[in-house]
Amino acid sequence: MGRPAPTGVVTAMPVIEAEHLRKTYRSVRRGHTLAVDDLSFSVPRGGVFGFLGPNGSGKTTTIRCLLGMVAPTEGRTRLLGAGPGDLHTVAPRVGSIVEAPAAFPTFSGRRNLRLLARAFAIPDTRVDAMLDRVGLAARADDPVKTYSLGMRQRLGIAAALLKDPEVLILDEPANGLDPAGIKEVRDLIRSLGNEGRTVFLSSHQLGEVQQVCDQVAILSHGRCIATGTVHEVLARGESAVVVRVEDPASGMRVLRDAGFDARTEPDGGIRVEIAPERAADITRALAARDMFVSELRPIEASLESVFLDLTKDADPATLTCPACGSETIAGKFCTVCGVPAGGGA
Amino acid sequence: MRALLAVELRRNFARRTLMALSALVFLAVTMAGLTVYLTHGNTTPAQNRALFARGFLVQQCVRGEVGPVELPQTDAPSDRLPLEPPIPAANSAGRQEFCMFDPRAGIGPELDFPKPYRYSSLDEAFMGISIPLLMLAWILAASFAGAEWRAGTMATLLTWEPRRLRVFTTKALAAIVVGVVVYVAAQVLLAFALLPAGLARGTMSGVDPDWVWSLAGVLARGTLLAAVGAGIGFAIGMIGRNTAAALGIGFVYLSLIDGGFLGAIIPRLRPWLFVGNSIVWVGGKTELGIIEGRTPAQAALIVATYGLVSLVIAAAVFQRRDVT
Repeated sequence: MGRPAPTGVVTAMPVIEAEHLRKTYRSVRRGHTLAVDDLSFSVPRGGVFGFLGPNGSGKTTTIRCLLGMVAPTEGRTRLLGAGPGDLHTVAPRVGSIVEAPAAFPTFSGRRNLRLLARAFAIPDTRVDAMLDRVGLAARADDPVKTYSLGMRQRLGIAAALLKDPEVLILDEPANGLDPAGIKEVRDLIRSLGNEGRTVFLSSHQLGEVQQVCDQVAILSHGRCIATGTVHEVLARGESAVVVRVEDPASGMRVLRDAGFDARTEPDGGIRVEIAPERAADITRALAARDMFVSELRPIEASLESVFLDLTKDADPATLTCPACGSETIAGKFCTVCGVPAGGGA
Repeated sequence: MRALLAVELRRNFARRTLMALSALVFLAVTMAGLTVYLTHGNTTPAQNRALFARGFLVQQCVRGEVGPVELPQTDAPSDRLPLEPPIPAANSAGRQEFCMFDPRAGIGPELDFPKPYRYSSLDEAFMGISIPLLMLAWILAASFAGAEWRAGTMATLLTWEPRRLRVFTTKALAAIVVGVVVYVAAQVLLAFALLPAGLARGTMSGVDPDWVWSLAGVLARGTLLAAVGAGIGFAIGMIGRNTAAALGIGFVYLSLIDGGFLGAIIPRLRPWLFVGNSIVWVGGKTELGIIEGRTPAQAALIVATYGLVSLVIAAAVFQRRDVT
C-alpha cells in the first residue's frame, strides 16, 4: 500500500500524464465517434486536480484510458509512471470511481465492500472505518438496491478509499447528492487533498470544483482548452466592476468619456469591464465630475464564466463531409461514414 | 489470485439466481423420488409368479421362441425376479424378434400392479438428468457473467485488478466450480431421494462394489459435462456481456443447430454436434446408437473442445475489448 506524500509537499514528477491521447469509438449503428482528441495534460503529486468539462467532453473516456479499461486509439497515458500494460503494479495505490459506482444490488453495502477487501487482503476493520468516513455506517447492512443515488456515490467513494490510495480518481462523485451531501463530499475531497493524496476530480459542476481544486484542466469536445492553477485559469476570464451612482445616465457618460468600457445593467447599475484592482480609477473619474459612488462591487470571473468564454471560441465549426455529404464537425471523423472531415478543429 | 477466487466463489454461491434454481432442482428431485416411491411396490407371491412369467415370456421371445409356452410356477423372491431382461444389442440375433414382441398384447399375464423399484438402475437416472443439469450449469454460468456486466462491477474490479486474463480465469473457474457443485449435489440428492423406493418399494439387488464404481464413473463423466456446460455458458455471457444473449444463443444452438434442424439438413454435421456427443460421453458406451461408432473417449474430446474453444475466444475478446 503506497504512502501519501506529506501534507503540502508538491513534487515535480507528474502522477498522471496523458500525451496526445486520442480515442475513437467505433460502432455499427453510430459509426465513428471521436471522444478524446489529442489531449495532453499532467497532474502533479498532491492536492486536488479538477478535470472539468460538460457532459460528452471526454472526461470519462480519458479516465477509462488512464485506468486501462479503454485502449487509446493514439497517444499514451501514465498513472504513477505505469502505462496500460503494467497498471497492476500501481493499482494498489490508486482508488477510483468511474461514472456511476457499481455494486451488487442484492448484497448490502458492507458485504460489497468486504468482498472487495477480502479479495485484496484488506482487513474488515478498514471497511467499517471507510463506511463511517463517508457517513454510510447506519445503512451499511441494507441491500444496495435500497440505496439512493447519493448513497451509492458514498459507497463508491468508500470503495475507492479502501486501499488507502495515494491517488484517487473520482468521476463525478457528487452526482445525485443533495446540497448537504455535495458539501460533505467537497469537504471530504478537500481533506483527502490536504492529506497529501492526489485527487483527480472529474466534474461538470464547475462552481463546486472551483471551491475545492488547486489546479484544473478544462475539456471541450475532447480537447484541453485550459489548464493551470485555479487562479491562472480564472485570470483568463473577463472580470468587471459594478458601480452605482445617483444618476446612472450621467455616470455612464462620464465613464465612457474617461475611456472605460461601460454599459448599464437592468437594475440601474453600471458594469465596467475592468480588473477589480483598478476600481480606484473609476471612483477617481466620477469624483472628478462631482459624482459619488453609492456601491462598488467587483464581479470575479468564475470557472463557469471562464469555461463559457473559452468554449464559445472552441465550438466546432460544421462542414460537409467530403465522402458522404452529411453534416459533420471540422477536424473530426464523419459520424456517418468515418472519413476524416478535414477543416482542423 | 486465490483470494480473488475465494471471493468470486463466495459471491457466486450467495447469488439469488443460484439459490432459486437450486431450490427448484431440490424440489424436482424430491418430487421424482416421491413419485418413484408411490408408483412402485413390493409384490405378493402371486404377483411374483406373474412377473416371473412375463419375464420368462420376454426371454423366450428374445430367443425367437414366441408362442404358447408352459409357464413355470415359482415363488422366487422379488429381488431375484427377471423383471426387465436386458435388451439385446443392436444388430444382435435376438434384437429383431424382441422388437416385434409386445408382452402387453395378450401374451402372458396382465401387469396391473406396481413393480418393485430396482435401485441398481440409479445409473440410468444419473444419465437421464445429466443433460438437464448441463443446461442448468450453462444458465448459472451465463447469468453469473451477465449479472457482472449488468451491475457494472466488472469495471470496478478491473480498477483493482487490471490484469484481465487473471480476472477472466478466476471468474471462469468460479463459474465452473459452481456448475460442478450443483451437478454433483443434484445427483447425490437424487441418490438419496430414490433410496426409500429401493429399500421399501423394491430391491437393492445389484448394489455391489462393481455397481458403485460404475455409478462413480457416470458421476465423473457427468461432472466433466457440467464443467463444459458452465464454461460455455460463462464464455458466451462474457462475450455477449449479457445473460439474455447467452441464454438466447444457447437456445438457438440447441433448437436450430443441435436440436435437429441443421443436423437434419446436413447429416454429416451430426457426429460433431454437442448434445449427441455429450450423451455418448455420459453414457460411457459406444453401442448406444446415438452416433454410430463414436467412442466415449472421442465424444469427451469433442465436448471438451467445445468448452475450451468457447473459453479461449471469450478470453481473447475480453482481453482486447474496451470496458465502457
